[in-house]
Amino acid sequence: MSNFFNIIERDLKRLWNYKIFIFTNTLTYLVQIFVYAFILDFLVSSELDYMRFYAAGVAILTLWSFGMWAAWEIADERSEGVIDYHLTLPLSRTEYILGRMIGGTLRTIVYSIPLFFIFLFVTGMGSFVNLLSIFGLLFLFSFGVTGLGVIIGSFTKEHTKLSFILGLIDAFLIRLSTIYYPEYAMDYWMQFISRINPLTHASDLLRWGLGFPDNSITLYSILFIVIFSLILIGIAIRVYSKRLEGGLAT
Amino acid sequence: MKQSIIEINNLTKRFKDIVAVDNLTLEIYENEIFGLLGPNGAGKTTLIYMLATIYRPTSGTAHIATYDIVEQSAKVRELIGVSFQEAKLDWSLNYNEILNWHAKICGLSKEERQKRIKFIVEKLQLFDAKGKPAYKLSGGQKKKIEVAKILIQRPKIAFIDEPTAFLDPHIKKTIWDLILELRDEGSTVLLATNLMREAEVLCKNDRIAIMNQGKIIKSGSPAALKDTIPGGDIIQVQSRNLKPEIEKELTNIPNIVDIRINDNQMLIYLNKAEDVASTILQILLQHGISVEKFQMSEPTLDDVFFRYTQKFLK
Repeated sequence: MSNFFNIIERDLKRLWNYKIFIFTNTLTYLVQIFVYAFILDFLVSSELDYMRFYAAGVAILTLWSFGMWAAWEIADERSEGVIDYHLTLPLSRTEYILGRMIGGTLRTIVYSIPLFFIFLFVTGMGSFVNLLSIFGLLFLFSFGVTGLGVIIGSFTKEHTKLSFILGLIDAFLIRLSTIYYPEYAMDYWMQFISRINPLTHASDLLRWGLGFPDNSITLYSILFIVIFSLILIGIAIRVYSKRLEGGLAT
Repeated sequence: MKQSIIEINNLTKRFKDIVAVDNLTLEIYENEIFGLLGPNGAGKTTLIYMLATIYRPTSGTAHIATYDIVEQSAKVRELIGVSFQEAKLDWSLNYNEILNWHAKICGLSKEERQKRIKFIVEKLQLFDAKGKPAYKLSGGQKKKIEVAKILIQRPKIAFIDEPTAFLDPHIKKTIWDLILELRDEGSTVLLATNLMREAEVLCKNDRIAIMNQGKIIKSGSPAALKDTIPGGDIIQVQSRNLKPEIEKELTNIPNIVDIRINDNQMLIYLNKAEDVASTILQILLQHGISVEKFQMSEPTLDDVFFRYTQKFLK
């Protein structure tokens, strides 16, 4: 059990490994919050407080981006052979995989918290109780996203292929969600996909947490995030474990 | 009676069409340094990867201290340590962080970790690398850290793959001494190497195996393997009055395989030279040959390696 914590500790030790990635993501986030959000709010003629709506979507997107970084990390560690080394260490595969996923999630949280405070500064607190109650769900969501990153990273270590896959996922999931625009502004088919999109539910939950008047929390959103995350965590453990046992070089 | 600690039965690993390890059966005894020699691609590293529970075998079984490498892999990992051919390091961490984390996860107490790391860092002269992240280090420094991990861990069973590749002779010697110490302290070492000198030094009193195309072609003690080469020993005689008729008489000695006389020098190719050297010398003296030089040499492990791998290399 103590080695499970050692695995988490390793991930946390390497918190600032990817400085450029953290810097560019933070910068993009700040530009989106402080520049795009205001410009778009000015451009969009709607009763909606678009600045706050957009900022909440971007916050979830940043959380998503940090979580999905696990795919790059796993792919890199595979190509450098570091995972081969980890597999010889005295701990079970489940301890290892869970340790890596929790470590990855904690890193995502650490990266995101300062940005989240900036976000609250810009958008205002809204309902503190609501906000607090969705933190657990957002943590679970980060865990699930890290799981998805782990699954993708387990299947390819080629950067070009990985870029393509992640780009494709982003292109579909982000555009077909309520990250940038509300559901009522979408075509019917887009609305349908949006309702089965985790990014929609995560950003809607955050908006509810902020006390958006148009956003009421639904049991469906809560259940969706919980089930999505648990399924991805489960699949990640199974897929990663199977890939590890089979020999990642094959 | 030697106790076996690693038992491998018909172990096979396939990668699509390639059979990296082919139906391999082998026993490694407790507290020995077992050298695995073979050309590149022979399957040495794949065998280590299976025993270290990284790869799952395609078929066959292997037990490490009675634990099955597939069914009880977590138990196996509690006993083993691996030093990889290519250093597998966290690129952003410095050697102290890498070694300390490794020792910690292997269960060493803080005091023990500090003591062992200090000792090994001094022995392997890692001071130049102090504070630098692994990605800024030279290939040799990275290799030293890789070997240092296992020397600090001191596992019950150590898998060491090419421990001195890229290293200078001075450090090579130090690492060899430390591996011998590891064995003397009770560890069993499976050593994969391409360096015959390394195998000669480390496996002198133990065993080696020649591996090729996923199979063990020959195994035994270095001395026994050398003896398997027909006419591998050479006695070199130098004299100004060598007589051709001596050749006929010497051929009667069963150990002798071939004799070549050239001017003042006679080369006798034979098996187990030490058994008949005195007889040969006696015959030479009886024939009034004034022996100026009488030198015995045995085949090297290079000769053994070439003999058992040449048909594949061709």
